[in-house]
Amino acid sequence: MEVVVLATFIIGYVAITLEHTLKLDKLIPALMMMAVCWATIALNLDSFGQWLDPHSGNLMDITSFNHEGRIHLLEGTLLHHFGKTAEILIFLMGAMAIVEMIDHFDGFSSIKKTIHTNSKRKLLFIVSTLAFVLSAIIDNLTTTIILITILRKIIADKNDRMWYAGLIIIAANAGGAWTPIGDVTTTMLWMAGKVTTVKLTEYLILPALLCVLVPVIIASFLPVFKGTMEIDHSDDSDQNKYGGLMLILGLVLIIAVPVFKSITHLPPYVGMMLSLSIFATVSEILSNRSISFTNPEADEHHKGPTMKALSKIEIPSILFFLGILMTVASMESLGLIFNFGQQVSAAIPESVFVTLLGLASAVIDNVPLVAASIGMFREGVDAEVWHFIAYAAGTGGSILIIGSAAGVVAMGMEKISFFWYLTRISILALLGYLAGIGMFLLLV
Amino acid sequence: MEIFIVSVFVLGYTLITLEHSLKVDKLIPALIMMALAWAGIAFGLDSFGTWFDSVHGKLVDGFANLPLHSLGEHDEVTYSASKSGWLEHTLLHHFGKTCEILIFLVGAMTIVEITDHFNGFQTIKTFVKTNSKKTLLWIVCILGFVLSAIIDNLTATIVLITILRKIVPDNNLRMWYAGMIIIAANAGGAWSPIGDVTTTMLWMGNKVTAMELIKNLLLPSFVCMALPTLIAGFLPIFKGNIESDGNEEKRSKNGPFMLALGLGMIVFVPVFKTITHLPPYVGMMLSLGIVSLVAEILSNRKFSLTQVEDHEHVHGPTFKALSKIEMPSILFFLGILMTVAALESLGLIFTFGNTVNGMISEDLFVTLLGVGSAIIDNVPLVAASMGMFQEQMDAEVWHFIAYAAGTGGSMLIIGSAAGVVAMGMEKISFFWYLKNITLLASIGYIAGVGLILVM
Repeated sequence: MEVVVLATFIIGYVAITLEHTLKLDKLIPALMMMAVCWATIALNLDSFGQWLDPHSGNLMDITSFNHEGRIHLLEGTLLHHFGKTAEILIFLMGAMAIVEMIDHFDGFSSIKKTIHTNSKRKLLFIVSTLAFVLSAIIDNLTTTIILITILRKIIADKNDRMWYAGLIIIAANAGGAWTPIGDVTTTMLWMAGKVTTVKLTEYLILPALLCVLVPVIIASFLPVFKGTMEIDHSDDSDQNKYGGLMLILGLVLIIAVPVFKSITHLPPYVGMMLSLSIFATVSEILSNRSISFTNPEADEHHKGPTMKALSKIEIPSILFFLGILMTVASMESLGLIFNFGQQVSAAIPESVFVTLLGLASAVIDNVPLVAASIGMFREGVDAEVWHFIAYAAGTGGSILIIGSAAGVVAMGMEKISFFWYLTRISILALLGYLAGIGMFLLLV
Repeated sequence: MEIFIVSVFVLGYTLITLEHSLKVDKLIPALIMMALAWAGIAFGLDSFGTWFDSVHGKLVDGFANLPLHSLGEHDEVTYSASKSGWLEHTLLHHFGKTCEILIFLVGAMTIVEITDHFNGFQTIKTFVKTNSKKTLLWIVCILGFVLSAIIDNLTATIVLITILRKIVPDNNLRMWYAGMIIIAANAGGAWSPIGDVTTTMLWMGNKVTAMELIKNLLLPSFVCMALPTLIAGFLPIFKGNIESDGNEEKRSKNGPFMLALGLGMIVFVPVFKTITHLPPYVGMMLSLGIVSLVAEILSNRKFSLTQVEDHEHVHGPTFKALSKIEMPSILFFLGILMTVAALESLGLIFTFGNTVNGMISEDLFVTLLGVGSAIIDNVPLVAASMGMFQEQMDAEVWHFIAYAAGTGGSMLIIGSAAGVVAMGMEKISFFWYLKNITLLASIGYIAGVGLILVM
């Protein structure tokens, strides 16, 4: 039955990568493969010999379990994975809603005004630096969303914007790798007591920096980043007066999420919901006031900015994410990922294995990979291998667009196709990834 | 710290009920309340002496003496060894359970929207021959009663309200129908072991058997639904006929097909659940996948037949349907359920119930428990009462509890999952429901209690 699950995954993944050719929204195969995989597991529950316990990360031998025990195990595991997945989804929705609300107040046009350059190359450096720094503080997903939203205001040409988006993905993933709050995977390693904040930064800041510098410098010599461009100044006149304020407030509230998390030790989505509701309150008050100033009874059923922002959230991306993560979780539960890792790890040296793990994270989501590797190695706190995993899983995902959350979101926002990214950005990302690994191995 | 959390809850609920006068959307207080309640728990974790284990429905033994953080090798110890372990585990459990409902809701709403995209509900109007409001009321209530017994009351409410949206154009009238659906769905859920989470809990916990449950509760539940419906039938709002909006312009030829597919796939969800024992959202996502796959294929074919390259980036029906989903109601639901979960986890509800139980008679206690379930979610109430009583399987008190917890929630809109969903979907305010529906629900509830006590 493991074969059926694997085959479903492969067929589903092919359908996702061929989205544009098949003209089928990628959320459809994603959701269907999730349901089919779990249904296959549920219907053939008695035939499995092993099971990965999500609580401890240990592979259990369940041959002696009776049917009732297996059902109990399945329910517990599924709820655990679903809960973890939903934490990411709700977090994402909160971040998207805040960003949409900032946009409602024209907040990003204030950043746009600070970018004076017309040079494409300079803009590339500015944007990459912003992405690297921002994603270290807030997560790289949000960073990518924010920067692409800004780019949408600045760059009218779709093709140019796709190039910038590609390099933002690289920079955001690299920036997320060297802080414990920058990426889900580093957070996982941090929470599991595998790395400490200071050591992680010490080990990874230089490799991560190299990982973004190499691609950006190479890219700056490409023809697409030559010359200047027209910056869209059309809608500067009717700027919302609260724009700047709302931008700063929104960013501060997003930055407050990791702070809230480290104070309360609650999952990040709780803080994100608090930030969202505070931001929504402020924006409701501001827009109520501005409405009563102008014409009080213009629209009886006026919808506030919260409603508008929430209706703009991309539910297709959210559901797509749900499908993908839950499908991987099903394979993880059967111990397929764990066993695979063990076999490979026995055959080749650790550093090669972790490098490959990073490459694999371009295909499979890095969260389950790191989750699996936490159970795979037995080293102590701050062992080199943990930092290496943090780097590899964090930055390796840039090599394919579906390899990282940032990439998936960019794919949705900018309609970047899988093959477009593969033929243009992948090689840049790969060079950066390898350069960073070289640096890491030199340093230790 | 307990006082802080309770006051956050009270304040938040007040803001939600005052939504229309404050002009602040109810999702804002709901989310703030959730975050503050859990933050309060996280801060005061060391000071709490009790903790409610929702999985097993009992208080954790010796919680007061547990260390805040567990010592030793991290992946070797289980969550039950420390207070922070319990917090993490419980929060994930509640969040997972809540999101199961949210994703399920998203799936159901999307399927209905896709069906509507093909004008599928035009077909239902031709099936429902009657234009009489009163006849429609009875049809809807009996459907709600039966559907919620087979599927579950949440799904029944969602499906019926979404269909009503397409049939009844008048907002105010639809709110009345929605209110009656809540009563009918909750009543229908009480007498079947799979109809409601609480009866399922009692059934799985070996407190009741399916046959005895149906025998004891079918009549009281029916009365609980039929009496309010009978009375409502005489209200002026249900007099006369529904004005048809009359625009039968575009009848897609795929409409009837998509309607059959959409409804069929929604009904397929409980079947999938029974076969696989997986939570309903998995089946709903499969159904959504199939419905949207068919929809995409149908609309792609239509596009290529008419104009080949009309719009480069034309969005498919799935995309359009998903953008129509109401995220505010989803997030509102998240906030409310997670706040109640916070209260539940502290063992406040449990401790309070135990104290009251010691003072009054059993019948009165269970009746009050039903009334209480109008304020608090009935799942923790039943979970707690399962730990409170020590009676045998199929003892009267268990059936009484099943009835009270299942139907008592209809008395306030925030009292049942069905009500909270209706609140989000139909923009029913707390006070509107209190003024118009609560009395009807109470009459039904008390009539049912009377019948049980007589029997």
